[in-house]
Amino acid sequence: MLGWLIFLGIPLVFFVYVISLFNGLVSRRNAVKNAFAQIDVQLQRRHDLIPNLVESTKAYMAHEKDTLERVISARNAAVMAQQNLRQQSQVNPQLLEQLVQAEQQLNHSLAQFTALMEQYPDLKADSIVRELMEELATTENRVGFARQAYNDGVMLFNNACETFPGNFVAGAFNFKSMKQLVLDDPKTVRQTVRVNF
Amino acid sequence: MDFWAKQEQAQRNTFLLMVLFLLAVFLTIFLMNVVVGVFLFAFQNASSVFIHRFSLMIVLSMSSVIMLGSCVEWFRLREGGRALAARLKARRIFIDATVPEEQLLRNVVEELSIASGVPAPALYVLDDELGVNAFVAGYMAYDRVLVVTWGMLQTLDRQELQGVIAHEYSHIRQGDTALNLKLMALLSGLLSIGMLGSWVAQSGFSLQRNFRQERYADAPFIVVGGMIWLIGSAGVLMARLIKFAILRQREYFADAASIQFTRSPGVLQALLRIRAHHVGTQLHGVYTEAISHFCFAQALSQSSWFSTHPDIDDRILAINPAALRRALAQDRILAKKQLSSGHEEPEVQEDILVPAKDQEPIEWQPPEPLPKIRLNPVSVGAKDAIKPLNPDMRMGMARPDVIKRALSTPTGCRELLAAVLALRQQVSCEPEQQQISRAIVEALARMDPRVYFSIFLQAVDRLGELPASASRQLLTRLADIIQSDDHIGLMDVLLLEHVKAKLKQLPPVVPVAMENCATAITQLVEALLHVQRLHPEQIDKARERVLRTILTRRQIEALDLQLIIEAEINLGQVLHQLSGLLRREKMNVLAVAETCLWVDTHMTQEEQDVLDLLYWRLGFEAKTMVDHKAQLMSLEV
Repeated sequence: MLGWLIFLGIPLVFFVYVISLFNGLVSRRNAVKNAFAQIDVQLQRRHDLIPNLVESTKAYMAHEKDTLERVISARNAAVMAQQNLRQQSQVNPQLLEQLVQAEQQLNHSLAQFTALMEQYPDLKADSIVRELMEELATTENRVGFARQAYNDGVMLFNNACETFPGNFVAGAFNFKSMKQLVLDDPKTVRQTVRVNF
Repeated sequence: MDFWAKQEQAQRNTFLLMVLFLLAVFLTIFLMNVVVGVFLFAFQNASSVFIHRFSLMIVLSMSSVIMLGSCVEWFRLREGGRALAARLKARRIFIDATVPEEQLLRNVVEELSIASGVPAPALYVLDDELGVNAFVAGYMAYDRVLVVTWGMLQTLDRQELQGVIAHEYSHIRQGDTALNLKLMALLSGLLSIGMLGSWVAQSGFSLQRNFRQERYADAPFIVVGGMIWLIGSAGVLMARLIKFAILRQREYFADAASIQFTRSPGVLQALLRIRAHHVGTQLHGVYTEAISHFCFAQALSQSSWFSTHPDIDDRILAINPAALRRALAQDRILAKKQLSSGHEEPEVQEDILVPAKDQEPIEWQPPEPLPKIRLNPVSVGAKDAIKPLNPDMRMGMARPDVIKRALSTPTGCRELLAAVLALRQQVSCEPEQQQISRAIVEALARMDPRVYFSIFLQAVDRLGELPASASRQLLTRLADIIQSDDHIGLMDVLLLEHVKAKLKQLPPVVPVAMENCATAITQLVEALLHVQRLHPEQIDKARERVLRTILTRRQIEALDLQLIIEAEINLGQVLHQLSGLLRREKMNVLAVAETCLWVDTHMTQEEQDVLDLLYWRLGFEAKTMVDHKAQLMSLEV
């Protein structure tokens, strides 16, 4: 009797354990997806903010058409990349890479733009522009924090995927470890857009 | 750190809380019983101190008062955080807040909601509280509130605010907010005895006021009320003990979690600022005793026995021991400098920084070796006494080709900086000896000196990025040029600071208290008065008048004016120190600066530029204010 119990029980326990590992992997992957959606929301917010900002600074910065156009085109490219990525159901690493590139471009042009704004005291005194700049700064932080949350989620997921014995389950059900979002030099990017009035 | 496991711990704490509460109730009632028993024993020869004829009455009445108090509070708090915020008369900050500080708070709260994965609570501000404090309360996500004091909005900058808010978020993640509310309900039962006592005593007073004829009608009321109040304070003591037992340790954990959320030492900065500024974290409302355990830092007065929060110093120590050592060393250095203003800086530092035998050496970064500055009265240059130009005109004034070309490259900009500074000196400028481009100097010499300032700022803007070593080289070179005539004015120093800021070589701002800045302020005033180019006796008179507006009489007496005036001043260090003051204190300093510059009743171009740069150095946007003033009084050419 006891022998039979052990004979049946061990596979059963093993089976339950595999199920729990599998479920853990799925829930972690969904958490990563959720975190990614958060980044998406914040990027969207930033993209919506930029046309407003450019529109309200136009009157003051008539001579800086080049820079304004560069910002707008960088923003449009980023929006495109974001939409491309959104159409895929799975997170596509290649398109993700493209989005990161486009966002970096946008960051650079925004940095130039804000540096230029320093030279227009009237502009900085404008309350609407000031408000928009504060919004831009906070959105920048939000993107940063969302990326942080995403990277943490990816780390947890990868840990679950790659450690023993999760790696067997992950291999059997085709869970692939994910890539973290890394900007080339996050520090400079964040510093340059940080606006101090 | 595993936050979710901490939730479980919070559950266990609730159980502990109930046990402690029952214990406290029992102790309080027992104490009351014994006190009455002692009286009876003394006056009526009762048989026992513990069991006497009032025992049953006392036990019943007190336990019912406590239970009633707790139940009423529990009922009132069932709506959670919002009800509490309403009771404290906190003002709600809505999503469309337009005051910049409130906007900043709202944004920071939403940012950290992303970082911590906790839904953002409703925001409230306590308008009458000046101390820096904040708390969260609420049972569920929808009724959770984050209440901050007005003082916090005024005092902390963005990074520090992030740190404090992240600390509060970690309380939410740990499940402390609900526990705190339960604790508050239970404790108010214990506190209600004291309140009952004072109510009885007060009604005695009002009784006497209403019926004048009976002279001692209030006496029994006051005696009875006072007794009850006294026993009630035992309840207060118990309440504090409970808070002490449950909550103290959590603050360390919340600080650590705050750093995990923000990935920046914002909370450390905030603690250092609170520590340095003596603004304190104390709350003064009547509700303080009831909510002190919610707060970011100690809300009761510091001297109370069982503080609900660990000492600020202990918390800093837990986050970063080096930061605390640095802060302590800075305190001592500033205190010593205050006492003996004549001492050389290195001497003072050596005295204090020599570590005790078994201690690690303190990592104190001495302020950068800037040139020592001796202020001498200089002769009035006719060129500088002219009235200021209209700023637009100054910006737009045609520049020779040489300068335009120089402005277009970073190298040219560096040459321009050197040339402008060399021309500003009181000795003749010899381009070959000082290794400055002759062409640029000649082009500049042909221009109106008032335009130098705007050229300088333009050149600084276009300097671009330099590696740290190259930046230091450039700064040393500029400092050498400034010193070539053996005395350096405030203007030159401010221009150099501007270059430093652009090259990111400014030391980080260190919070400092106003009391420790008397020397620095005196030195600044001295420098400003020299920008005026007055006669020595005028300076003496003006100095005294100006100093009296910002320093207290005691501080002025403590200063050794003669020493300060004649010693060599490190103006860069003075400016750095002053920039660590609170915003409103910096405003005061700037107001004093403005007074100084108006002493001779007119403002020259140089004075205006000095003021402009001073606003900038202390972290204000000067352009609008100064431009406005300039527009009013400028000379139309």
